[in-house]
Amino acid sequence: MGQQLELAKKRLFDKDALAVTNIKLFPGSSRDATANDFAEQINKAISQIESGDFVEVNLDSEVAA
Amino acid sequence: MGKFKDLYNYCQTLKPKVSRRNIEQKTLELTGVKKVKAIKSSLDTKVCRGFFLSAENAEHPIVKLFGGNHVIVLARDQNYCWERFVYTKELMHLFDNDDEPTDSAEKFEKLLTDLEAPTATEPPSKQLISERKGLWMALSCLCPEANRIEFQSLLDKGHIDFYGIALQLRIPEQYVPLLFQSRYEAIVQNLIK
Repeated sequence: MGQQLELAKKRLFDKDALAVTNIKLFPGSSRDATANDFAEQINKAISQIESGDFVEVNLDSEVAA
Repeated sequence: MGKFKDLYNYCQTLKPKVSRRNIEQKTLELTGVKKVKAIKSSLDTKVCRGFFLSAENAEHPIVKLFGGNHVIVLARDQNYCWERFVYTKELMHLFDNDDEPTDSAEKFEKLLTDLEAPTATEPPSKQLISERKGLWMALSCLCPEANRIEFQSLLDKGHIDFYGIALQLRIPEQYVPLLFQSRYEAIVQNLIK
């Protein structure tokens, strides 16, 4: 298996790392994406979040009924 | 899935476009979850449009950052309809049954491998089924049944197309045809039984 998948498994599931209890994902538009490609995107996002590179989504922009 | 039925019934009282805030609030109320954080990050939408993450190591910087709450990560580079749909599908994982969470490295590897190319020799994993269910659950929340029936009638008369329906529901056009497949009602009935 690929390096990105191995990295994601440790970063997500090691008890002294995130200790993930659930992760699910929405695949993108390419049917050619591999398990390693999915893992790479998750790794990238985790690194970005750790470095503060993200914005919060404001659901209040959607008018409630 | 009993709780999802309550969300589904609640969504029948809403009108398009169905607000994510409404769906979120009702979901939190029904599942007893305090909060879900939604953020945008730089995901490649060819590979991944978003993901749902629950983690429990309270010492980890990310868990601390989000106050121990569930997190939905969305790709920055996708339009409003996609963002609504991906968010709602990921939110549905708060309804995951006890055996559906991806809670080990082995299940995670299997899920990603199955998303790459589903196995042909064994039944799909609970995690993969949960991914599929999330999609139909999101669809049934974002399109109340009364509106779906009305759209069907307009389609039959040739007075609207899938694009027009997508614009009213504010969901990606490619998911609109799923609402009118002959299996749609059976799938939804199964989700709310």
